[in-house]
Amino acid sequence: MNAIEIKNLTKTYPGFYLDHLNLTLPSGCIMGLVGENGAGKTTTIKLILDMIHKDDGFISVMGKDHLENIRLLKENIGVVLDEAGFPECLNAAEVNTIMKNTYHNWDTAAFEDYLRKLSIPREKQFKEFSRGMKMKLSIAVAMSHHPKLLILDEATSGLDPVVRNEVIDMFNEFTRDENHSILMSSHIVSDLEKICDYIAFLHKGKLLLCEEKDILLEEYGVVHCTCEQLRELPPSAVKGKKESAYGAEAIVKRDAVPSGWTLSPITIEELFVFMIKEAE
Amino acid sequence: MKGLLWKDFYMAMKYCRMNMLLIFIFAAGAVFSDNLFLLFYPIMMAGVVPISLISYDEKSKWNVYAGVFPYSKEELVSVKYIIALLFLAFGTLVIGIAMLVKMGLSGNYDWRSYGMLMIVMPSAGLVSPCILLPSVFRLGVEKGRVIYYAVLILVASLFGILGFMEENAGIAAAGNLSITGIGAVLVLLLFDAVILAGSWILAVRIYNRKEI
Repeated sequence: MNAIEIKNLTKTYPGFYLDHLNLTLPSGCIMGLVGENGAGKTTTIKLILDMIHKDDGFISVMGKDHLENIRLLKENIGVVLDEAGFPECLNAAEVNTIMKNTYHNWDTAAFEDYLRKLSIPREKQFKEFSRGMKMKLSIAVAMSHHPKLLILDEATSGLDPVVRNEVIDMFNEFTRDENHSILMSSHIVSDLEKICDYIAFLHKGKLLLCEEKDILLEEYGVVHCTCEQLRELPPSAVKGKKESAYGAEAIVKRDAVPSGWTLSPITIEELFVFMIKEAE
Repeated sequence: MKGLLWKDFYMAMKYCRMNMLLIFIFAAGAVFSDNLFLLFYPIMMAGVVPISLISYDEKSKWNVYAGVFPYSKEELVSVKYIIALLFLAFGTLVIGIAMLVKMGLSGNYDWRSYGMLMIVMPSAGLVSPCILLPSVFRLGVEKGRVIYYAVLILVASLFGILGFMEENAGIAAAGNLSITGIGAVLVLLLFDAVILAGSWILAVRIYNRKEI
C-alpha cells in the first residue's frame, strides 16, 4: 500500500499553477520534497490535508481518498508546518491537555518523553520560546499520537545542527516500522539527503523529477573541466552546467558520458541547483 | 471538540481577564444606578469574547495550524459559538446577582421585571456575536473589525440612549420594553434560536469555502 498517492493534482492561485502533479510515496519510505520558495511544496501539503481545495486530480492517503474521512485520516497523520501555531499564552502542559482531548491515540507518556528528549520546558509559555523551541514542541505534538504518516513542512528549519541531527534520528527511528512513512519538505537539502529514500524536485509548480535517492546519486555525476572540454561531451549527457573564466562544472548522466572522463560523486543539493537553473 | 474547548478556555482565562474584571465593575455600577447601559455592557463584553479569541488565533496562526488536527470545520466554527454562549451565561449570571443585590438594597422585589431582564439582556447580547462571527470568519478579524466597531457603537449607543430615557424607571425599565407575558418571552426565545442557527449555518458555509 502507498502512504500517499497523488495523480494529476492541479491548483491555481494568481501567479501560481500546480501543474498536474503526480507523486507516490510507498509505505515505510521517506520522501523529500525539494523546491525553491513558491515551488508548490506547502501547497501540495495543504492539499493533502484538505486545508485548501484542489482544482482537479486525485489524492489518496493510506489507501483511501483523502476526502473520504479526513478526520479519521488526520488521527493517523502527524504534521509539522513551517510555523508552529500554538497560541502564545499556552505552555507544553496545557498543550498536552488540549491534545489529549483531540487525538484518540494521544500518549501523554510519549509526549512527556519527547519533551525531555528535546529539552522543552513544561511550564514556559509558548511566546517565550525561540523559533527552534517552537518547532521542537510542534514535532513532539506530531509524534505523540502514534501516527502512521508524518508530513513535515520545513520541520528542521530554525533548529541548531545538534538538535537537527537528533530530530533526524527520531524521524529515522520512526520509519523503522514498515507501516510508517514520512513526506518531508526542506530547504536544507543535506537533511533530506541524510534520511530520504525518494527525492522529488518541484519547480514553479511542476514536478521536475521524482526518483529513489540512491538511483539519483548513481545516475548522475559532476564533471570539472575546461569550457572547451565540456563542448566535447554529447549534449544528451549534460543535465546542467556552470561556465566561468576558470573552467566549467557540469552535472552529467554517467551512462551517457564517454569512457575516460573523471566524474566526481554528486550531492542532491548540487543536482537540485543545476536542474533548477537548467529549467529556467 | 473537547480539545478546542480546552484551548479556548485556557486562552479566555489568560487573555480575557480584563473583560471579566469590567463585567464585574459594570455590574457593580448597575447596583447603584438605573442606567441600562451599565447592565448591558457586561453582556456586550461577554458576547465579544469569541471575537477576541479569534483575533489571538490569527495572531499566533492557530487558524492555519488547526487544519492539521482531526477537527471538522463545523467544530472549529461551533466552538466559538459555544464560548459566546458560555460567556453570555456568565455575564447574565453576574448581572442577575447584581440585580438581586439592588433589589435587596431597595427592598423592591419586582420578580416579573427581573425575569424579563434575565431574558432580554442575553437575547440582546446574542445579537453582536451572531452578526460578528460570520463576518470575522469571512474577512478575518482585521477587516471584520470595522463591522465589530460598527456593531459595538450601534448597540452601546442604543442602550446609552435607552439608559438616559429610562433613568428614573429603575429595573422596571426592562419590563417596560414592550415585552410582557409568556408570549413575548417565547417570541424572544424564538428570535434567539433563529438568529443563532442562521448565524451558525452561515459561518459554517463560509468556513467550508475558506482556504487556510
